[in-house]
Amino acid sequence: MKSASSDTSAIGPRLTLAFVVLVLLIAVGNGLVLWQFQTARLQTNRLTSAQQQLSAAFQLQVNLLSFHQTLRDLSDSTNARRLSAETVALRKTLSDEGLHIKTALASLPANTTVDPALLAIMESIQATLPAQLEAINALAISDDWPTIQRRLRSELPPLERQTSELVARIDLRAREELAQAQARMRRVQNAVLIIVPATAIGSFVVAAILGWSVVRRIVELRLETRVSERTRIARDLHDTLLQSFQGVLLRFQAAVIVLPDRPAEAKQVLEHAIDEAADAITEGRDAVHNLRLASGAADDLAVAIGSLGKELTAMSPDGTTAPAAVDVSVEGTARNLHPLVRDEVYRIAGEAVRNAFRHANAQRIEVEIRYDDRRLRVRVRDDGRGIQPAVLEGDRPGHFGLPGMRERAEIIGGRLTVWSEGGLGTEIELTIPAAAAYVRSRPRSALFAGRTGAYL
Amino acid sequence: MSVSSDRIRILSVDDHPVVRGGIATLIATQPDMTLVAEASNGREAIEQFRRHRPDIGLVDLQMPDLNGLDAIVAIRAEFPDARLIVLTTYEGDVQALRALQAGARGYLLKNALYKELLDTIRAVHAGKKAISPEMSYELAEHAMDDALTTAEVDVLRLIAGGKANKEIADLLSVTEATVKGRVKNILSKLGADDRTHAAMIAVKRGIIDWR
Repeated sequence: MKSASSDTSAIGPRLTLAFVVLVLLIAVGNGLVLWQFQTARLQTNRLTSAQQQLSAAFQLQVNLLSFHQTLRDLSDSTNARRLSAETVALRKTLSDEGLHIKTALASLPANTTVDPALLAIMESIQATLPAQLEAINALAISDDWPTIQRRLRSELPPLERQTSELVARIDLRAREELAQAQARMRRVQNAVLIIVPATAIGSFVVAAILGWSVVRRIVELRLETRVSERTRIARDLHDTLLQSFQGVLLRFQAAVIVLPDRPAEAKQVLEHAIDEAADAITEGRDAVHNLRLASGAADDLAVAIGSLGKELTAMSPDGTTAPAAVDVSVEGTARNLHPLVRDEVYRIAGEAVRNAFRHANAQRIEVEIRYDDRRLRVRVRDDGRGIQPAVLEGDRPGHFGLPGMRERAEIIGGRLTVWSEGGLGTEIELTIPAAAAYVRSRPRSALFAGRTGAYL
Repeated sequence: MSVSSDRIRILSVDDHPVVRGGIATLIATQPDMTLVAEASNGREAIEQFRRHRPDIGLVDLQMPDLNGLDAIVAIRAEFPDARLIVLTTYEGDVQALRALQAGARGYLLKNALYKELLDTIRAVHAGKKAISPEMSYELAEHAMDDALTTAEVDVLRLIAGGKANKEIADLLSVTEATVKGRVKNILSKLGADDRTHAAMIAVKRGIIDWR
């Protein structure tokens, strides 16, 4: 607990390392799986492309064959009128089918290549067949049927041959693609089968280690707090009650020794002892107050400070002066405070209230607790005579004075500001950032409370 | 100054004004004693001893600045025949042992001060050694105990300071495993249930000084 900045270092390097490893493991595992999926997607694309090209080539072949068949039938019929009518329909079919195939090839997945021969054959069909039709049509009108039949026999078969060769080639490529894709997909499958369980098991193990370390760290931190808290209480007791009573006992003993011969001196010694005993009771009360708070009995800061004020008012130093009134107000919704912060805030504010009572001769003391979203602010104002040097230096046993208050404020990550002017009273302001002051959520504080109970 | 030279000249060292006041009052009742100086920490104690050369020094152990034990060592180094009596609140046997080894001639618990202080001053002034009866029981109780090593005491001090094993390892420049080993030894030697218990025992027996 050296400073507020040690909050992050308190996590410890081992915990940080475990956390980083966990995050890396999850990231790398998921990255590998995504990479495998990408590979699989590429394979699917290539397969789709091969299959679409194949179907386009088949369609081309079928179109060509049916075109040829129709023309042959027409030329056999030797009916020029019918041939003329049919060629118009054939030309339309031809251009429609060409467009259809082009569209299919254009919509192939990215990164796939189209067999150049397919496009070339398509181009040549598109370019030559309309002219052929024109020529046949012209021959039909002049009734030259033998020439038509000869042309059909000599010019169409080469195109058909090219097309069927193309179909065979594309079919072969598609088969190869399929075989390759199957092999690759099997590899992807195997990789995913290894990566996913490995990532899951690895993450689980590291997460378990992390969780275990976190629990251990929490227990350690609670223990540390507990140990230093007990040490502090012991010190408080030693500094106040015990020392004072031993001093008083020595005076009593001195009084006993001188009583028979010098009763007047004995009386003086006893009077002094009584004064010191009264002071010791006051200091003891303060120490007990701190103990009570450390035990967690006073959860509400305002209630704790209020009851301290009441007690101080009730035991006002002498009957002659009117006791000061302590007024505690709360602004904003009260939030759960970290136990250590709560205790320290109570001690600092309590010390300020006590100073106002004992040294400032104040009539009115105002304590204002403000729960802000960004910070906790506690102000203690009095209308007394300002701060005395003894309080500033903090040299009274059992009290930590202003330097001690500042030091305590810094330990819990806060800041203490003091305004004081002779005759105009004193105001101290303690501010602690929200992150250091508030317990973030209820479930977490409940968990902590449970842990404390279980381990201590 | 024949009168004052007959008296036992005393230096009182304690950081608590109430205790110093009590001691002064008690000594003032004794015709054969006189309080020559007071000090509120170890450093002042050494200065005052040098200046006044008292017959007896009453030294509190727990003090800010320079603690009583270190003051005793320093004073005895400079004045080997200095007669010093330890005053302490704690019954810690280890602390008593250290004080006696450092050369203290008397060891008084503060809760017995009002009864035993005057007799102890006279006894030590006469050249005897004097230890509170309670204290001698405590010393006997642990006389046969396995003493903690210096390294273990260092670890114990940090445990009581609220440090975790890892931090202790960093502070002492040893591995965490070493610290764990030492903690185990400490728990077994002190018969402690856990770290907190060990820290409490350490403070009680005066193995560590929590100031």
